[in-house]
Amino acid sequence: MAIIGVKNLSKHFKVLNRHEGLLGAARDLFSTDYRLVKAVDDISFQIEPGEIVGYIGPNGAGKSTTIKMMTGILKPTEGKIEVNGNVPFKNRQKNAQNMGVIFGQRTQLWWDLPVIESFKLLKEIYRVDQETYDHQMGMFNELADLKALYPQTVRSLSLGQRMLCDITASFLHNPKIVFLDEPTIGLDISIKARIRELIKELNRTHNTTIILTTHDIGDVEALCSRIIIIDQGHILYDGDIKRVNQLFGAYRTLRVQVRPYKGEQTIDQVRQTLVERYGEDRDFTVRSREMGWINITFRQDEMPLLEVLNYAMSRLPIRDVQIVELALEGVIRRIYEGALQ
Amino acid sequence: MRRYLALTKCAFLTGMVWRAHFIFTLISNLAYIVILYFLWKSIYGVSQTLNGMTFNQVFVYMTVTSSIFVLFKTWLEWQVSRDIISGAITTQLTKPLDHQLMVLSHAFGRTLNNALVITLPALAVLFGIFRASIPVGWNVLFFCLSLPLACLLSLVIDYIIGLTSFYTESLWGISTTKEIIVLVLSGGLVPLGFFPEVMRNILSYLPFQAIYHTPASILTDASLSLADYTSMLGVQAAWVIVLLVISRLFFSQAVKAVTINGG
Amino acid sequence: MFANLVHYGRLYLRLEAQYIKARMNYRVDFIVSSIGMIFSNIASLAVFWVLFHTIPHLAGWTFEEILFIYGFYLLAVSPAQIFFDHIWQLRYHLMEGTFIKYYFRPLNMMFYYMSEMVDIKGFAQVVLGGAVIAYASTQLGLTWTAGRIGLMILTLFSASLVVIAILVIASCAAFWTLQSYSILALAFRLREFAQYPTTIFDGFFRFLFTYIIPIGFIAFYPSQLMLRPQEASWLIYISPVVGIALFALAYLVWSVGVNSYSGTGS
Ligand SMILES: Nc1ncnc2c1ncn2[C@@H]1O[C@H](COP(=O)(O)OP(=O)(O)O)[C@@H](O)[C@H]1O
Ligand SMILES: [Mg+2]
Repeated sequence: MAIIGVKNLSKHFKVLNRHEGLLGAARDLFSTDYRLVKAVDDISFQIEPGEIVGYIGPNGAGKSTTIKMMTGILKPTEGKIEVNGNVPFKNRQKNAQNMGVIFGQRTQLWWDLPVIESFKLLKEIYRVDQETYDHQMGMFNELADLKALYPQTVRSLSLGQRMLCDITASFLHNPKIVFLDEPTIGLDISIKARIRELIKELNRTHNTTIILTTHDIGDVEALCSRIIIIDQGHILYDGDIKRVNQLFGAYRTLRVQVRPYKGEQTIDQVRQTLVERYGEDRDFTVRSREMGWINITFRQDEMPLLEVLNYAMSRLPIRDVQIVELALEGVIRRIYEGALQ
Repeated sequence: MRRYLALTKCAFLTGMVWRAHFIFTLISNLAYIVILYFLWKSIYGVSQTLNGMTFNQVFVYMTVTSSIFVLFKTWLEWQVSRDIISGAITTQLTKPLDHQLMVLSHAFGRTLNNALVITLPALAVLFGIFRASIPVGWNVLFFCLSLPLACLLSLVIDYIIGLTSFYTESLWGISTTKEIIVLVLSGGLVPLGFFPEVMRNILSYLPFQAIYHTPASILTDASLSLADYTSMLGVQAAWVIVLLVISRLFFSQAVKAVTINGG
Repeated sequence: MFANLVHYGRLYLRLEAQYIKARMNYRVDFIVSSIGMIFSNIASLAVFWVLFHTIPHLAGWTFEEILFIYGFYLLAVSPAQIFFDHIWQLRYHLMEGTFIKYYFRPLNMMFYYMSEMVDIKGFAQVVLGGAVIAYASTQLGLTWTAGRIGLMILTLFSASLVVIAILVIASCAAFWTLQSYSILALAFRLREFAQYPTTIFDGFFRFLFTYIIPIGFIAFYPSQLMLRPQEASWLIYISPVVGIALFALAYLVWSVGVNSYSGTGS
């Protein structure tokens, strides 16, 4: 029996188009010029109890929006969701009793209170009995060694410490499902590792279902056996991580800004320059997703990043460069091109 | 100078973006004029003049002071306080911009925006719907001169209030207290002419009356002479200078204290 | 049902106790804010005092009677100020996306949200309001019979609900515009009208403040019932209904807002 069932789910937002400048601002006063953003567009999946599912995709893919719908914050534009036998938007309160949520860097603990007081309040809110409370707190201590943090106010914790507290707190009432939206964002490597370890253990001890969104492939590799990849509101892939694994890490993306920018012509110019150096048969793509910026995605083992960068800088009128953190975009591109089918 | 102008323009634009804000501020201030009208109408009852002022004079006076109150509301003290608490002010000290000038130009942009949203519509209603009338002559010119001085005075007082954040974080209390004191003592709630003689004498030695009372009475009181106008403006200017000096001293004193204590 | 009430009651006390403990770190702030609040109330009293220096009565009401209305007004606005203080932060929570956390608990959202803050200095206002009423009623020679006290409590209760409802409805605008300060400011201004006799307004506005935005029920109509029962309109007897109905409306608006709030993208 699936614990989460999502069927043909969509969420569309209406966004006001703003205008620039003084006149534009005045025009916005009376504007009815709206644009539809399809944040989530017709997605379906099922999740079984005890699974850790990695829900991944680039920024703006629709991950948070999906989670907001599964937790009952947002009402779907279309489609069905069932979480734990409830329709989240209709039975928010009931749903909340069996659910834990972490949203990005926003703590749900009480900012001005000592950490331990937050735990005590949560005990009260979720009506956790003393025995369960003691047991859970004991376990958290073993796993994460939080005792030293108890007397500190949440305000005074470092981001990583706070995330550890937030995550354990979301497990306090022994929920059936925990949603973790980017729990490792902005954290350094060592604390990331601790958090991954903690999540793994928490999942193992109570067989808690965990949905984890991230754009860090490292999180996924460490924790999930199944991933769902979403991009621009669509699910691109849902299945075993192993099949996509070889593609991860291998691709890098370099974003360059070339001036003057003449659309297709400039993109071709960049492609030609790289072909001159590496030949036709190398596995790389050159595209533009945003005016003025060109993305070059290539395999790191065939074309070392620094070499590509130096070469491009010496041959092209490049104004600005960015190295995209991860090759997720490359992976997604490959999926579009049918690499997984 | 251009950099400061850019700040002014930027604040003005940000203000315009919020359309709901625009509409509701407008309604809110019109509603206030309505209450002023009825309140003072019933205070006057059948009397023609009270304390030497006609209903029409008082109504214009009160509309002008209350419009000025909203006009000068720029949240400047909150900005200063934020800069201080976040520590941004200490990094400001290393930049080639004067903090006070910067904050004041930003606030000035907001008053321009306020003028458009609040003062002009309020005046339109005052003269259009309520058919209030003012004597027209030199007083209009002097009113226009006195308004920027009053604004500057009010902003500088706000700036000083903001600087108290160097010592305490309880700006809300201080700012509310200041607001209410200024309002009462400057004729923002009742025309100063209604105050007992003794109090009026004391108030004339304080800077507050130069904020609301001076522009409002210049506009409404037909009996004032050119000499009166100039001396009133002179008093305003003097207070601006005095308070500017005080604020600068306060600022350098506070910065010194903070840097010594390691902030 | 009863167990639920006990749970919520206990929780409320726990949450508020923690909040107050945390606030105690800002003692100076508390003192200065209380002074500020008392100052603004005294300023309003001073305005009346100055006015009555010139005129013998306002729309037929004497200085002492106006004081009584003002004292009633202070008491009526206090519950909103004390228990619904967090409403002022709503727009910040919505703008910065921190409101999201209130969705995740198995609690009534309005309860959970409001329970995170209590404005202790509002109690000082209650004392001031009580003192003003005591002074005014002594001057007016009002005797406090059991019936009158009962009436006072009942009308105060409904008046407080009216104030809370207006405040909540105005704040809820933030769910849709994210820039609701001006609306809140408008409501705050309207609320201030409640300290004057509603009879100073004529036709349209008296209708507006009686039936549409019933701020007349905050202080004037109840005071009229206490001071001049023979002049009081039948309306005041339905004031509990007005209070409860308005609060129900406010709760509805809040619920619709909570459901339609789509959160800032994160
Ligand atoms: N409240 C909102 N109003 C308008 N657009 C939104 C809103 N929330 C999200 N979006 C848009 O929906 C898309 C998906 O956002 P989100 O789910 O937050 O992405 P992710 O979490 O994957 O980074 C983005 O294009 C975002 O701009
Ligand atoms: Mg997100």
